[in-house]
Amino acid sequence: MSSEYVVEVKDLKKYFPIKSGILQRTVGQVHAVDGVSFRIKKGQTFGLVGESGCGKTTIGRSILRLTDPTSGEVKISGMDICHLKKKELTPVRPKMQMIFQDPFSSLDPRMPVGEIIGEAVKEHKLVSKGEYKDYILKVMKDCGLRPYYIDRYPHEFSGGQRQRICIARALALNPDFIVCDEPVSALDVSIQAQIINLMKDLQQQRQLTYLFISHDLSVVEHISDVIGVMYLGTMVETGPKEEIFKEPLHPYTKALFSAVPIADPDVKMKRVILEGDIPSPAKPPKGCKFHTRCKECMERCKQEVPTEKDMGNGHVVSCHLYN
Amino acid sequence: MSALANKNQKKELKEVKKFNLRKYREYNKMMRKKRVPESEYLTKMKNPENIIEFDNLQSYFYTDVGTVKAVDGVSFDIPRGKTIGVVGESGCGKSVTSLSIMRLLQGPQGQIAGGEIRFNQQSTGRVLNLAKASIKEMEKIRGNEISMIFQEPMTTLNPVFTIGDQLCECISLHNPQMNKKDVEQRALETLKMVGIVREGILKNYPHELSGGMRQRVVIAMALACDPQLVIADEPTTALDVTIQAQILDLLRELKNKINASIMLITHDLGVVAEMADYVVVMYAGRVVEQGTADDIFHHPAHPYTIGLMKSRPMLNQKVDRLYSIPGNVPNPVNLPAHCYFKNRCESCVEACSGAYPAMISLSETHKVSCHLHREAGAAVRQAGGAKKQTGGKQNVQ
Repeated sequence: MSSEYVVEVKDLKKYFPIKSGILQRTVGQVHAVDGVSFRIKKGQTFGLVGESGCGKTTIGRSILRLTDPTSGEVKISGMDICHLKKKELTPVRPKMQMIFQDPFSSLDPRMPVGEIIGEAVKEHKLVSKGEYKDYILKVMKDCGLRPYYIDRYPHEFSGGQRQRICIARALALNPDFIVCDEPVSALDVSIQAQIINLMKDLQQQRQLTYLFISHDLSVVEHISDVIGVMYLGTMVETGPKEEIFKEPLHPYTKALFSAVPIADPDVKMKRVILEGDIPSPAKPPKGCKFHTRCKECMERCKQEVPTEKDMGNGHVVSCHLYN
Repeated sequence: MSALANKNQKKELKEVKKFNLRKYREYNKMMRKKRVPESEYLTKMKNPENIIEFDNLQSYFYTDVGTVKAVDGVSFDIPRGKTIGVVGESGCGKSVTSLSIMRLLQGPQGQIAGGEIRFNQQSTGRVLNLAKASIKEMEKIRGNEISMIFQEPMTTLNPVFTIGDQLCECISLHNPQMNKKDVEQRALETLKMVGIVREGILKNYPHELSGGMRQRVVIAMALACDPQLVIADEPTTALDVTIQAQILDLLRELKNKINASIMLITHDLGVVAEMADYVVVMYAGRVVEQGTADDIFHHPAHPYTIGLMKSRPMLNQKVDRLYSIPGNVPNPVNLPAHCYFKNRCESCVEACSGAYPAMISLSETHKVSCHLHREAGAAVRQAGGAKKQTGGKQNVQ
């Protein structure tokens, strides 16, 4: 395997069982992630977009083994982590970190900031006892936190500051790869920009690789190099940012992009408004999963699952229109 | 030394408590009053074309740490049949403004401390001051003439009642003459209007519907009694973009159909640009800028508005680094005497340390509260409200 790619995901599947009755028999499965493959180069950002319930977060969690994937392969820096045992996983953990969506619930209210950031550092014995405090202070400084915050508690901070603490906590372990699960969607517009800029700066300084999960397309466009669009557990389109935004191919991507409101009253966009809602992932439709809402649906779409087709420049789309 | 400071602090807190208690008592007394004479709340509109006029509205929260002036001297109008967008960050008083109209502030801590909300009631031809109106009067207005769409469809609907129960309750309450069958018929009609045509929907429980459908039900509830004003408090924030597009489309269509005004509260500038005729920008409980959508988006004048627009990444626009407004929103307790935005503002002038800037008219529709535009404002006044002015020195894009 080439070391150019930090993360390689191959045919990842995650099904959640639906249990019912007194005996808790499995009566069905929720196909949260259904055969997703992608790769992320070192130092790049992969933006994952899609509506809620399409499996974005499940992918993030499966890659970090926070939930065990049903099948498939996940390689971090060339090492397959899907089949590692818990003990074997421990030394790998610091290399991959996560920043969660809600900075209000992802910090322990009873721990001071220094401890929140340093807990994992101590656990993994990254630095000696003597250097410990200096190390924490340095990480805090990198994330734009003042040194005297070290003894304060999370409730004393605003949303933006808390997200900085979350970022510092992830960075303290010196990771290669960070999964950012909607890191800015809970923040105000003016604070969003601060956090996005911070994340970009840190990426340049430390050669970080991000998996950036978001439903906000304008944020994803700003921060990502490569974008993957998900629908109902499958990746419908991937490609470099420029390609996808210039020429979206999949009907779903087109609809998604045209739905974003633009902050200019003169621009009246031609909307592609999708009818209806996402079908339930417990009973995904046959054939192409998008065919129930697709405007350009053909007979073939209802039967056959479309395969991925490379349209050049790494722009991959799964749609019968292009086959 | 510190003991003295501590003592002072304790004394201060005691004072606050005493003050609050007095306020609570006043409030409870007011609420208990059964009959409020009409003369106390009947007023006159400044412009009969408007449906709502806010005049120096002050909504305060009396908390244990001090008085939070959530809304402090807000004045703007909502014209009939237009959409007005209220933009601002969380905690700037957008929602409190809308709750004040409905008189839904959590009392006795939250109270309307001063100012007027004039409502032009079409059915009776009267003008009511909603800040002082009796509870009985308010009950007739809420959900009937002014209705509200709340942010989260998941928490707005009661999970233990069916959609039908909740929708019919609102209709039968305001139309006591209707029998059960008519009410159900009306409920189905409103659901059809928002695009839900489904067998047995009235017998469904909220959890059986998706987020978009639930928000449609909430909208149907708000529209059930043909309101004159719909307050939409972040109606699409909890929804996905594709569903958001559906809902916005629906709101626009419905506005034309029933000829109502919409007060759209949101922090998403994109949504405002698309929907609103007039825009009000709020910051820390005050209106900093107001004008038509064209004024605000093409000639933003207040540094906060400009910053807000620049900090948003836009589709199909390459920027290396986003502009970010430095610092944070000020603490709502003990706000300074000078401009609240001063500490975060990059174009501060000497006058900014002085009194809070007054509202300055840049054109007939465009108003801004910033010391930078004093001269421009004076010029407009001299010219007698001359035609369009170019808003500020800086323009976005």
